[in-house]
Amino acid sequence: MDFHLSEEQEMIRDSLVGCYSQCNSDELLVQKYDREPALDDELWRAQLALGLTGVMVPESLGGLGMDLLTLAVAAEVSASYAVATPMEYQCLAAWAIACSDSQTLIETWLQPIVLGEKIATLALSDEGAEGGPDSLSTHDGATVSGIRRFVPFAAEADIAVLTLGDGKLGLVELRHDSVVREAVAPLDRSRPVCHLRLDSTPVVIFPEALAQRLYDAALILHAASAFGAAKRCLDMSVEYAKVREQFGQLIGQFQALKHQLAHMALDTEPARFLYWYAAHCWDIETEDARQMAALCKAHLGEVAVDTARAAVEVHGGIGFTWELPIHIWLKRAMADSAIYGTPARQRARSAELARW
Amino acid sequence: MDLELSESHLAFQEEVENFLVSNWRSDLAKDPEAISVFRRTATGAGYLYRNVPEIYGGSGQSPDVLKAKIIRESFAGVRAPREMPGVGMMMLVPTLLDCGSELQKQSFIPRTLTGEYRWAQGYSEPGAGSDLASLRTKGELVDGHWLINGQKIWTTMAHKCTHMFALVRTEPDAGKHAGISYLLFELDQPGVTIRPLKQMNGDKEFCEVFFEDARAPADWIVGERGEGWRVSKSTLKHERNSVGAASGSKDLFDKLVKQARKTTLNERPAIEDPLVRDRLAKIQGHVMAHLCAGYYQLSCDAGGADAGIVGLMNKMNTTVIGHEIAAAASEVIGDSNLQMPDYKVGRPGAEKWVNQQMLSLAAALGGGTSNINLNIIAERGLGLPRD
Ligand SMILES: Cc1cc2nc3c(=O)[nH]c(=O)nc-3n(C[C@H](O)[C@H](O)[C@H](O)COP(=O)(O)OP(=O)(O)OC[C@H]3O[C@@H](n4cnc5c(N)ncnc54)[C@H](O)[C@@H]3O)c2cc1C
Repeated sequence: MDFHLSEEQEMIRDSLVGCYSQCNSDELLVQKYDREPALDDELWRAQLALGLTGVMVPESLGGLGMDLLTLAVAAEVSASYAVATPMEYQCLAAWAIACSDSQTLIETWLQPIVLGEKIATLALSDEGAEGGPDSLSTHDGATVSGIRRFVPFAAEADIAVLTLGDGKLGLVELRHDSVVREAVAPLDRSRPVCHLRLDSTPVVIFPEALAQRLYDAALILHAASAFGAAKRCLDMSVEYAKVREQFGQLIGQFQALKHQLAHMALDTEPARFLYWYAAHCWDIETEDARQMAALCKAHLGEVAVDTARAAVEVHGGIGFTWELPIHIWLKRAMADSAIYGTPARQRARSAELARW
Repeated sequence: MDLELSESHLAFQEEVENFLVSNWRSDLAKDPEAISVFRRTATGAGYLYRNVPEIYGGSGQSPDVLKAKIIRESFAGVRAPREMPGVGMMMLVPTLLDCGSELQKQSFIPRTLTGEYRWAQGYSEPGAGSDLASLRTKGELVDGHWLINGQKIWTTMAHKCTHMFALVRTEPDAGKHAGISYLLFELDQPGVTIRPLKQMNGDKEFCEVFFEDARAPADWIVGERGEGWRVSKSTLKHERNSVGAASGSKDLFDKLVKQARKTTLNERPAIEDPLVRDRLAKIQGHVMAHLCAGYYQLSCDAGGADAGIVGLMNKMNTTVIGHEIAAAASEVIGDSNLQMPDYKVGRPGAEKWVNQQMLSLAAALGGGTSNINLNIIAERGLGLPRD
């Protein structure tokens, strides 16, 4: 048994930390946060330079041939610096296209996405692969119509990979005339969103039924991202408790606060290993992989929101300001928790998948 | 126990409802002048500012818990304006009634009731939050005026207010608590600089307020020199009660139930979802306990009795319910959590609950953090020794 990241995974993690701590230090992050929410070009270029986009693309197709666990660790690091890029979506879109079993899709799209010449996002239904009330429909297999809410980075993306119900995936070009991208004021300004309205938009259907795998992978990446937010909130709170004084002593000396911080740690720290485990299950396709994806998304989403809220309380008045970046992670945690199905919804799915 | 309205209360209810029919229409809600006229008329009729004597602009009614409840509910039913919101009415007026001089009552209370004077609460400082008594803003009496120097922070709405009531250190040689006085002053003066701070929800409501030789007349001190802590205690008590008003929790809860009826979850109204029902019913238990404890406190107050430990729990109950409602709302509204409500482009939909998530945190901090409130419950309520 070896429950560790590989040396290569640790190297990727460390190089990302090195990169983001320079280009997205808290000071820079706070400045950037006041801009119109949008993709951060500088960070996007830095990520492309590191070759992240091909992380899950097989080596035979020019990628790094690594696994979801690697990408999940990268997502955690991006989250802990609140990096405003669609890297996780780009990577999963590249993976899906690489596995699509369609020469056309691979030849047209894979290289531009891996090279970052084209930007890809995911437009997944809350209901996963099964479709649902907001499901997009395709009658003829060549066009798709309907609405998909809250698609991340849709304003910037060139293409979107969509779930179409019945386990099907499709690819649409977002610059097509039939596509309306309705801007929405995002809660999480580091990940802007749009509603997509499609009206007989040309779609390429993936021959492989990959929707379930893609949806599960996206759940795990949002769980990893929620972990990154929770961990940052925990760390900031512990640091603050060591410097802020009230009643002539450090607030960290109050047992009540010590216990609150210990509870935040108790919620957060073990949860890292749950997202590692869920990612690994997905990678080796265990029987419980789908259930673990749902459970891990539910658990991490809730832990992250609770931890971020507790962090605001530990900071007192300054915790409620815009100036202190805690709210940036609170909002990321809320978004990670809500996207693709809330914790209660994911728990219900998990129980079903466990055949309870 | 008797919860039936007596003949006389039923008659009162009818009277209030008739009054509202003749004096209030919902289209007046956007007309500030009409609202002031309405408040004056309603005060004249004895429905508003009941605890404030007539000579100070109130209606000076004897305390009657049931009448107060009838008024609150009837006014809320037709969305008629009630008393002027804000800390002036909630905190300063009761404090002046308790501890103010005759002159202070006459000069400040009537204008606070009409909204001409709007008050900011200047207590917290960068170094003095939970440990409020360590505050350092200085006041010195020079030639018949207080000269005030220092800084306050987190001062709600200071930029929209005309006046401040503040805790200021005037007796530097006295002890921590004994050195503090309760001063009133105007905000619109050269010695005061106000800088609004942006909050996590994007609004600018709380402020930093800097004083450089800000001035107040010598007799704008409430209580004696060095009595500010005691005077402020009466104010804090009022704040805990007002923030803790259980009816606020109930209103919020009712709105969440309404939202759950409107929102579709798994292709059915969310309110039909067993998980949502369980969660809402659980919160309702908490809300009703809070509300009933509130009725009990009102009855105790009316009879001049002390409600005991529940009287120390209003703020904490409101805070906990606020957190629970925020968490339940986030399940009910689903992916609408991803959207920031934007009041500039019209009335927001389900995403308005996102703001509630943040405001529930503000409520947990403002007026004393939860830890401080829990310490009060443990020490004053349960008689446990202090740290
Ligand atoms: C939205 C909002 C509006 C406000 N409006 C006003 C206003 O109008 N006027 C005004 O004067 N103030 C206002 N405040 C300030 C508020 O009263 C203070 O923020 C609060 O008292 C906490 O003080 P602090 O921010 O300095 O935090 P700190 O006192 O530094 O607290 C930091 C953390 O330490 C904990 N802590 C401190 N002491 C203890 C202890 N003894 N035991 C256990 N834990 C402890 C706290 O619970 C908290 O978690 C407002 C605050 C907010 C958020």
